[in-house]
Amino acid sequence: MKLKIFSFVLLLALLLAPARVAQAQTYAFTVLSEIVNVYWESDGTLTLDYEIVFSNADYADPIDYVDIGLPNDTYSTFNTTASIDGQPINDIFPSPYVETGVALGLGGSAIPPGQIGTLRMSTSGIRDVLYTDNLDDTYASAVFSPNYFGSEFVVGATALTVIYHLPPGVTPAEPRWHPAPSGFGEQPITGIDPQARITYTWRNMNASASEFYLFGASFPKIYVPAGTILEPNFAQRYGFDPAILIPILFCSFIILFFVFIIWLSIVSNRKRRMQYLPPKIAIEGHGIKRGLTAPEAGILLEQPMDKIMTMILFSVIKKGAAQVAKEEPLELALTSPLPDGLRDYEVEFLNAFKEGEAARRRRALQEMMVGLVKGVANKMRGFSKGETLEFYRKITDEAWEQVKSADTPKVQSKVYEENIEWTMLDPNYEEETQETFSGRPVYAPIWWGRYSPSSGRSIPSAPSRSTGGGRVSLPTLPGADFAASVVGGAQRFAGGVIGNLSDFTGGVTKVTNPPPPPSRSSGRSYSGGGSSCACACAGCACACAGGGR
Amino acid sequence: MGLLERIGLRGGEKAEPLKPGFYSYVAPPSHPFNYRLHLRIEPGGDGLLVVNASTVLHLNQTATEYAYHFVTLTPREKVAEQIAKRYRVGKQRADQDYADFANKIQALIETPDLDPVTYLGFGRHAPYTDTMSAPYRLDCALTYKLPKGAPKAAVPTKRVAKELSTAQWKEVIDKAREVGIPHIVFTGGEPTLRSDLAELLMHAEDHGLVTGLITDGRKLADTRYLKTLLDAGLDHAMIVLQPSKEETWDSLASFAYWKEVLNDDIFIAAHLTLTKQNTKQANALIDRLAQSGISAISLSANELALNNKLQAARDHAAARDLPLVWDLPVPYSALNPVNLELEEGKGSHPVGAGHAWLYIEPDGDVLPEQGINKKLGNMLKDDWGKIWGKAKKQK
Repeated sequence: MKLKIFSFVLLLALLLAPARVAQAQTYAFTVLSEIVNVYWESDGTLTLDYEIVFSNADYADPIDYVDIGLPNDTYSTFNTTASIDGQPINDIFPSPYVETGVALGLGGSAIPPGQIGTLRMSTSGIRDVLYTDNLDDTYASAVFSPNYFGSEFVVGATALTVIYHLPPGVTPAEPRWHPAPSGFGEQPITGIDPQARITYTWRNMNASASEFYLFGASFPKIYVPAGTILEPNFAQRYGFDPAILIPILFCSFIILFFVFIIWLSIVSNRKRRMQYLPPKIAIEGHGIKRGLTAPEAGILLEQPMDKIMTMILFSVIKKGAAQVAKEEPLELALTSPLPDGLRDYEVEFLNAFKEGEAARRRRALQEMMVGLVKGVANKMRGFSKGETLEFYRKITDEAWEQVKSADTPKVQSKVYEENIEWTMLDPNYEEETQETFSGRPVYAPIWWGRYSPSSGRSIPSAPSRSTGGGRVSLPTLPGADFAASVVGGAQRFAGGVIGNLSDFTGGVTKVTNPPPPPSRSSGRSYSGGGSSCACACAGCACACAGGGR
Repeated sequence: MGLLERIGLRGGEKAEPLKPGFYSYVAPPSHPFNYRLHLRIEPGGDGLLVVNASTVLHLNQTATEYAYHFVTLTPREKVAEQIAKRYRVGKQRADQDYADFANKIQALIETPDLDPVTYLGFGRHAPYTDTMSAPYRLDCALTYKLPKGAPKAAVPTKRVAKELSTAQWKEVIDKAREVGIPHIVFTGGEPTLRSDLAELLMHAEDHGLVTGLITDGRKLADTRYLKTLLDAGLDHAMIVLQPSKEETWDSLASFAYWKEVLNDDIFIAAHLTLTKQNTKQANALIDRLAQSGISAISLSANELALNNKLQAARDHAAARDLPLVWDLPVPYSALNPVNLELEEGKGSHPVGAGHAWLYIEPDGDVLPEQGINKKLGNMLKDDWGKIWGKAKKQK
């Protein structure tokens, strides 16, 4: 039979195969009882006394050999004695079938089929069987598992008794028992043996001789030599069963190997790939388009068309090309011949006013605006619209700044006259104009009478500021009237000349920003085809002017 | 594929930027937009995408890869797959970025007046500031011969005694294609005096290159001759206007005729040089040009003092809806409206000469441009690297 002693943990439990009665025979038996006296000696060694009663089955072969496992290889066959039914067993040798243990050859005392036999075995001097208790390092832990047999050989229940004999000197209050295996009482029966040693007895009348049971107790280290107590290894300390641990480790290794491969694959793949930066496209082109006139900049800044035409009106009046003949509805009296230096769109603007009929004049002004928008678009080719817009916004801001920072009303009026079209590019120019000029007298520009005949002053139609040293006396106007007149210019256009602003603008943008052509059929469309001109708004005089190409 | 390859441990080369190369795409005739794309992949993986030989887009490495797939018509799903394999990016993001890229390029092609910086989110790249592997254009002076009676001023300096043969010019074109120059302009002298002009145009066309012609236009008044050039693949032409010569105007009429007959998007520009003598007629000439149906106008002045007149003429052309071109071989003069407007354009030669374009003399010698007589090498005899190296040094 095979005896196993376990240390604090189950390290050896699965390393050792279940005990075997014999080999290559048909074995079947019942272990009627098994009593194990486990002596924890004062020198730190272990002595075992087994008494096992076999009942061999009728149909089985005789039990001729019994292998018993032992806790480690410190045992000696010289320290081992055995008997069967009182007959000494002399054939004791290291077991060829269990890793650590002895084989007992029963020889002529083999237990025949249908017979009962009682085996006794005693062995002593087994070292390295004590460990430091993991709960209290002043204690030694003594753990033991009695022998068990292969389940294929064993039938029936076994009365199993395990009796611990603690080292001499241990007092009743000192030792501690470990939790008992299932089927045994929660607490062992305590007692004192004839040598006055404390005993713990576990008993189960319906135990299985093929099952693994583990018993344990701890006692103060002082009762055994210090050198005989081992420190538990990692597995022992944390309760791993090495026999379980190895397959777990093996499986873990396999899993880790695959995880490692996957990880390596990901890392390798990632390393192999390049860093991704979002695609960036830059178009080759120039920056700011300088030299645009204020109405042209107004087109770029998407100013309303009535405002742009008011700017043109101011421009042609300043240049002496026309004067307002009638304010409501707006009529212009053109200078003949027209002065030099007029822009194409200014000439077209003036020509439109030659048309007597309102609808034809309106169409002519639309054509003028179409030309102006296309002209700006052409001029912007190869330049950046964004940078150009920024540039002209800055000019507008600076124009107002110059007007506001003028020292005197006279200087202010002069600066305003020079910059009037640029100030109109300010989206808040109406408020700015009224705020700047209201509540103070304004020196009207010399051409003011040509713009606002209702101011009651007749001024020659050609500019005459250079008078050969003579002084020009400029009229003053109440600031509020002046501001209202400037601001009202655009309203006059909207109301009296171009009619509905949206319709007028629509007539222009349908030419300058026609709807995009039908989507191409080459199969390379990705999200519904190309975009149309993004500034093709109906309510403003915007142009898809520019840029970069 | 072996197991290790399958799991990505072997066989996959480290991804590298696309190799330098030159790719082109020509829209099929059935396409509503007649356009060409040329992609040049520079060493290092960045690229240049040239749309219709005029719009130059600078692309970062990622955009270059998308452009490569766009030009080579890779199926969309394959693009995302390829990009995700080569870059640390998911397929979904790659697919989205490619669609965005493709849409922007399409919008650029289909909406010519759209400002790409404002509406497409492009950056702006100052012209000719990068170190490129090759110029954008090669101006090939096929001959210095001029027709009888040509004005003396138009006679180029006689620097060369011999002209390259047809085969040699073809070799020049091959070399241009090889180094990634997408645009060839035939000039002179008067290039129409070369009988092999149509053959050379066809050769360039076969290479997917954009071709242009600078001519006095006299010969093009013959509609049959013009048709042979158009059939050979001529993409654009610039007529150097001689207002007093009716043949010049006839050539424009000839173009207009074929444009209408062929329903073709032929790009035809006219160049007008302002002189003291013709400034008063400038607006009338521009009006007449506008009526002739040309696509664009090129303007220059023969002296700086005419700058204001030049700008006024430019404004007048804009008002007549005539876009301005200023970077074709004519004007060779720096006195063109855009160059004069730019701070960097105050020099004696247009910005970009010797960098964005090079000039080949009739014997194959390479100059930065006509009028800059600093020989950079010979296109047939010298290694391109040496020629381009010299050009870059002179920049």
